[in-house]
Amino acid sequence: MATNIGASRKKNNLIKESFADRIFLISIYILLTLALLVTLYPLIYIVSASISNPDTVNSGEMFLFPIDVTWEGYRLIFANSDIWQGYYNTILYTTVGTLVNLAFTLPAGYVLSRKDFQFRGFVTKLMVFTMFVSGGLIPTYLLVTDLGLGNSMWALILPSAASVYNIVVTRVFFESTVPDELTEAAVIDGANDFKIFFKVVLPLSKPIIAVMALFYGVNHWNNFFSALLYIDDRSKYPLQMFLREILVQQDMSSTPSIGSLSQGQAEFLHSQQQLSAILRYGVMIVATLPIILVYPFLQKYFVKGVMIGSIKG
Amino acid sequence: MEKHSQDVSEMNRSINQSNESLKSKPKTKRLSLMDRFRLAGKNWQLLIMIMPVIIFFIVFHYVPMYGVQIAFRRFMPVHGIWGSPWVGLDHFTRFFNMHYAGRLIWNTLSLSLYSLAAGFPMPILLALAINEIKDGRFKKFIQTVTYAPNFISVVVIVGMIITFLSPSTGVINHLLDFLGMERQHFMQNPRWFRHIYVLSGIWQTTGWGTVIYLAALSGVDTQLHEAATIDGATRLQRLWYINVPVLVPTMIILLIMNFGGIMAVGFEKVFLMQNSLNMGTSDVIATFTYRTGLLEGQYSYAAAIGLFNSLINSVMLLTVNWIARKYSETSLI
Amino acid sequence: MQKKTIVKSLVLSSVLVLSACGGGNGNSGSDDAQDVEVATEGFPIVDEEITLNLMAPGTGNQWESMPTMTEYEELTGINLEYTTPPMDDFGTRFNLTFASGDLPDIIFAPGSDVLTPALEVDYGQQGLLVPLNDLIEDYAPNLNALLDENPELRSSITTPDGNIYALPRVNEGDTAIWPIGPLWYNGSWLDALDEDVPETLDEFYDLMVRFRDDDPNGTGQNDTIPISNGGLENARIWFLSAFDLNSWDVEAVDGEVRYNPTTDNARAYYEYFTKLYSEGIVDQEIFSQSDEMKKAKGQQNVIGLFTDYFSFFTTGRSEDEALNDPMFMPLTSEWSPERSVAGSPRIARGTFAITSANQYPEATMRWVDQMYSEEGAEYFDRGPEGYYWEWEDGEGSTKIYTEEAEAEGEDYRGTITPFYGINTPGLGAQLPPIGGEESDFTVFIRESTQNNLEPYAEVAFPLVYLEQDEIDELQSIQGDVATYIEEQEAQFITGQMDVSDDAVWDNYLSTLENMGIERYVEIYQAAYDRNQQAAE
Repeated sequence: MATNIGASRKKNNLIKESFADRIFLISIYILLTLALLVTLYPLIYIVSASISNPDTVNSGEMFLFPIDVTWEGYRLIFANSDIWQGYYNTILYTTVGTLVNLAFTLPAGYVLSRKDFQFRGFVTKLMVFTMFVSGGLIPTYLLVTDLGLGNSMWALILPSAASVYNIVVTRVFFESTVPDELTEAAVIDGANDFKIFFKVVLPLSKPIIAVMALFYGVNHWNNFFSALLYIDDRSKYPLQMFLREILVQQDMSSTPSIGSLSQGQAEFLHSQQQLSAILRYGVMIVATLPIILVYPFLQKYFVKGVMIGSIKG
Repeated sequence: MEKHSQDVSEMNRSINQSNESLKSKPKTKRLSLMDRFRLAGKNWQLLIMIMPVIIFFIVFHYVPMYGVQIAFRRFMPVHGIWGSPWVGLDHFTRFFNMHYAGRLIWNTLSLSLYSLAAGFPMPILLALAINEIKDGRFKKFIQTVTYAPNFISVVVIVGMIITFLSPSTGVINHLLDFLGMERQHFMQNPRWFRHIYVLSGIWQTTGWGTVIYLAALSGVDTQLHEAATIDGATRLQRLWYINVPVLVPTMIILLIMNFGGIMAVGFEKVFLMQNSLNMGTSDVIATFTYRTGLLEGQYSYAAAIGLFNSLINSVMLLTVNWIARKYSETSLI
Repeated sequence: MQKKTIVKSLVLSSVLVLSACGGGNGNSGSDDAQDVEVATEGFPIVDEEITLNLMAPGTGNQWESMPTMTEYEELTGINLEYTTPPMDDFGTRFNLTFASGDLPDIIFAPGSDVLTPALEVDYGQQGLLVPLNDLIEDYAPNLNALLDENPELRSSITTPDGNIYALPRVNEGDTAIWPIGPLWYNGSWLDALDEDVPETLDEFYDLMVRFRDDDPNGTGQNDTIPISNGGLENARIWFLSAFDLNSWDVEAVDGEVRYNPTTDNARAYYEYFTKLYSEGIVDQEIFSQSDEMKKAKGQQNVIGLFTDYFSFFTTGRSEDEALNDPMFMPLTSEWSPERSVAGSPRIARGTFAITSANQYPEATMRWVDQMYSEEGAEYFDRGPEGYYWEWEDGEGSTKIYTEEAEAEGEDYRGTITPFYGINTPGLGAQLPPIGGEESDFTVFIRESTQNNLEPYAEVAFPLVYLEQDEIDELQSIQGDVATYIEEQEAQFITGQMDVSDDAVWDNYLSTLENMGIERYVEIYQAAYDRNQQAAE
């Protein structure tokens, strides 16, 4: 009897809510489709622009599909054999750098999320203070070179081993997804803090690990400024440095000593400027496609979710 | 498990006790320094886990911090940072005595606040919407597509903006024309500048911003949803009463952190979008100092402006943090 | 007979090391300095091989493997190690290098937008750059001859303390007089309308009206834009000549320095351009479009007058067709009854400096001096024989392009020599053509320049240096003034503010006064006077 009542109530609810829910879902789909179109259009534009005649791009004639298709841009980019060296270096720096970042950030984020950690406030203040007061470029440069990191991969990795922002985000994630009871239960089971972190917390934290890997990884991938400062050896340049070289765009009309150009040099600068119109889009795709394609693989760690409830029980 | 718990030492139990005792104490009660160090002995594993980060911040942030003083010196490379002559607040007064100082600060702040006000809710809404989608493929597709614009370089973005908005050949103006509206000189009008900057920023970063919220949403207990469904909650109600509260701590923290960077506007984008007709709203501190060559090799002046920005940033951060602490359970510090 | 000198660089470098250490900056590798004999003429320059560090903006190729550099190393006995950060970011790296005290031996081709005159003075007076006067005297016969010939050259590179800290590029080519890319008329439009190049402001206006109204591109549509450009920055000066202004900043007129935008002539310029803009003669997008968008319009044959280095860069036509696009002739008017136009001083400063870390400044000076000879200029531009060019039938015959050069052109030259798109030191001579004959286009450019610009060209203001405290004071004023002028010009021309209204104009003048324009002019007057004294 009781189960029957329960079942019929459930059924009623299902009918009632499915109507409201359907409208809700439909509007969600409409909104998302709009968002999709708005973002998709410029993306298609960029891909089309990278293989169109640059004049048609500049004149606004090309606005969706490529016109006068040319692969010249990509041919030029990949004709540069340094590109592959750049990819290799960037992948190496990104992988090692991100692993270092995770090794610093995850434990720190966890420790700061523990309300019983007595230096919590102190360490947070210590970190936040560095967001506002920085010694600037010169002392940092001197420090990195004095530590003997100059011209090495570690100059790109160690000075950015942890970021306040990411540590704080990690902390909040742990605070809101790892309940205190879980820690308490583990302690009762006799686990120490190392064990709690590595055996209990980390396995539950795939989403934040994925997010942090992405945040840090993207930073390493796009970083060229530290390479500019510290790397002299061209064979150690990351991809972004080579791409910047390819994109060297000299706006001739603003060159201070324009009359000092020979005819050949002027023509060269002009051709560079023309090239950059084709190359700009192609270079960007070459530079970012790999990192964009990583994302769908990381997404599965968000979708699965954490089954905290089951642990509680 | 049995065996394992037998291995556990006295210490673990005492940590447990200290956890308990900490909990039972009212939050406001302050620990004396001695208490903290006594506790440190019990929490030594936590200390070890956070030690690398503490050492990192000391070595790479606190050690170079002596460089701050160049804001009050006239930095001369031969004499180094410690040997350059003191000039007091000269660099600061030089900045504030400029005709445009007021406009630059106002433009910087208003552009940033507008970006934050309009841009901050977007990733939250998008993440909540995406989270409602159950079709795995569509979900993956929309996530990846909305995330991609974040990687478009500023030069390309601005190039596209100018092309799309061109009064004679731009897509947007063709559209306006088609709808019977008047063509607009978007880029030449200072009134449009902020909207264009903010809207294109939203377009570019919203998808990227959802990443962290989607991760947080993955932590929602599915049992809660099931229970709520049985109780007759609609999707909208479940979204509001179950999903949103999960996001709140992240939202608050991100908001506080964003206020802490309020003076940092994307220099390159503003600079590339700038022209002599929209400077009334587009000229910000960074573009002005760059365009007029004020910072070329002038580390002292740059440091002074940097300190001024930091001052505003820190005041903003502390204020918002204070508000968050007062009205919610989450705060940064 | 070679005169040989013993170099005692040890003393100099050890003093510098001491002072550097006191400042917390260490220079590395200074203790293995050796006495090296430097020949004052002939090669090799040094009797035993030495190695120097050179820092320069990258050209996208590895300098170590360029034959021009490797063969010059063999010739001189001076080996080089290169640091070449990408061109666009060179300034950042350059400034940090000086700030951190970790100096290379040679700063090569930084250009005056990185090694600015202000930095020359600053770093020079701090002792980070070596004074070059005596070194030029003793070790740079080619450059010294140029300086003796041309007293203006010497005064243009001498800083207020009397020292020269950076070497210039001296331009003598056909186009050296151009201050910026010239204005070009669309030749096919002139043909279609059967018009000549206008010579007065009124003729010019009439032509522009016809460009607008008479369908010069023959499309039958009202699609022509008589004047187009990306901003006014690189076109303004050509129009200013019609109002007797040769600069949009300070100008020296009979020894008196004035700030041009505050003159009545400037007001006349504003009014004239406002008229052109409001009548649709000037591109309505001129203030917001990029150079590329202007070029795109050029290729659609809808613009009639534009600036570019060569006209075909904008029109997309061939070199031969470009012979038909005439160069702008400076206009006369009631303001400027006599034709005059801005000319370049033909000197590019800040192209080479020797730092205090360099233990062999004498050898370094000889190393760079070769670039100031005609022979050297050609060598560094085209590299040694057998790469970019070769002899047609044995040495001394006609020079012809090699197969590789024919096939890949400038890209290939970029792998041969670093004199490729950067502000290199030396003599910018007009090089003899490869293949024996000058192209029609080269002749056209030279003749146009000689007819339309050279006879009327004036240098509005000499290249001067300022004292450090003058620079500090000037920069603050300049920041405000430059921003104000840029905005006002745009607002006047687009009609948002009425420049013919006296109240507006008076307000404009008084705002500039409040910003300190008088002091600004005073500082430049002092610098001008110093410069004139030095030239005497």
